[in-house]
Amino acid sequence: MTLDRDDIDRWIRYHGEVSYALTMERTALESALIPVSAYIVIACVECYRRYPEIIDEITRAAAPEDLGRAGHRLTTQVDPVHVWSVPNFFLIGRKVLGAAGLLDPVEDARRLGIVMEFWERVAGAYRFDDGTHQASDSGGTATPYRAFVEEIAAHCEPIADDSARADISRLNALLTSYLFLLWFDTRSGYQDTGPYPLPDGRTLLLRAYNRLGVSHFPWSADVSAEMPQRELLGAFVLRDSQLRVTDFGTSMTQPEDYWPCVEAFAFFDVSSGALVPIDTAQRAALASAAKTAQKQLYRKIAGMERRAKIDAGAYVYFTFLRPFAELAGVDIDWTVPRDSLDLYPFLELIDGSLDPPPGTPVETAETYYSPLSPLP
Amino acid sequence: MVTAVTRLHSIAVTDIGTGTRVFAADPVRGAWRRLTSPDDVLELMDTSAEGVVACVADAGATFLAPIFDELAAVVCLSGTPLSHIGIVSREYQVPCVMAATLATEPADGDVVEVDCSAEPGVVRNLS
Repeated sequence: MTLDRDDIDRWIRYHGEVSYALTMERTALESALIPVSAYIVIACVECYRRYPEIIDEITRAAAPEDLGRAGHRLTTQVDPVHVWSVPNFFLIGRKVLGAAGLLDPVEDARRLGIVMEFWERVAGAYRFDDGTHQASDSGGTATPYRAFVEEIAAHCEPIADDSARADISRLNALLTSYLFLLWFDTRSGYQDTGPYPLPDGRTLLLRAYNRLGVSHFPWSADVSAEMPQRELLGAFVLRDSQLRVTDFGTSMTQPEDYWPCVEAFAFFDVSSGALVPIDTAQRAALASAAKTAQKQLYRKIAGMERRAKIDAGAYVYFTFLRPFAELAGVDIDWTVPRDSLDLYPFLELIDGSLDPPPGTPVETAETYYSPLSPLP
Repeated sequence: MVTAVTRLHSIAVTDIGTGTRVFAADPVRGAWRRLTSPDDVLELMDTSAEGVVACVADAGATFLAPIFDELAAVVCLSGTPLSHIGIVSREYQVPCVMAATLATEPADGDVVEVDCSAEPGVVRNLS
């Protein structure tokens, strides 16, 4: 481990400030369909207890810098939210365990060192070693696909009329909504990057729609087999719109509704890792398939018991580290829940839609994640 | 927070609440429907959600997923424009008011108007 205790505390403060701001922007995340808060805390406890060992395995097989740079290729899922999640899921789990008095100061420092060093090296390389580590360091910029911009822009076609604009925006919305459902109300199923400035003064927003088809999510087997594309990239050329992206991989624009500013677009099947444009008929078939799959999936999730929903959501969260392991070629046990069973009976009761108990301390950016405890 | 009652073309227009709009949009009208469980959504999925103004408590994206494209508008009682439901409403171009506070809640089926033409977004009961 190369990070000392001051380094670790510096990164804890850094992540606390960034993630507190993101959380304040987003606030509530509960869903009447999926017990999001319960599965998050269970997954994050698993992350705290298991990520350091998994990261050790990954880094024995691949340099973190190489994994970060892999995010410059299409479909690797080394993307803003997956990079952000590695330290933050771990830190959220640490927060839960700290509140329960279950942290060992020595072991905590060791675990933090492993996770923070991995993240620091991955994130630095992902951002082209420009001295930043996340979009929030640069005013909301993440441009991993800069090498593809010229080719993408060349394929973008002007939006002919309002009817065409409606078709394109509907396809995008259906895919976005379907992916939220497929990924159990996380936004990691789609990831925005940009702004990519174009030579003519316009701006390119890229949206990766990930794992549309059957994947390692068990529930996808029954509902996603008919999706005609597995990985898709959307490209939207904006005029007169201010764009920034968050470390959740979400775009924010001024004006808030960017669709009237979209002048040209393209959709690519990137399942092979290359850019293969899809045409109007393919887009229509994709929209239809997404609508059907979404209905089937909703009915399936609605019929699941609460515990099954929690376990499925926890699996989605816990496997945010999976893209790095797959790139490194290491075989990991992703079973969840596994190392949170001692706390599961308490954690599964958490309901984020309820008000916190009276007297609960108000969090600030400074207190969002606790610093290292003094050594005994 | 009944802020105004006016009579336009023989319709009583009552502002019943406000919230943060997700994006600017012209006023839309529809039938109020408070949705609390997936069964409520499944019922609309199997019939139609066209013209429905859905009122929901939580700001997750998934609850309304299969009917979102049919809704006239969404009134969410929590969250911000960057909550998941706000993001999806932006993509669907369905007007949405977040963290809405309602002085009185319309009955299911009441005709309401969601006005996101200015900040804050306003919910009006037209019934």
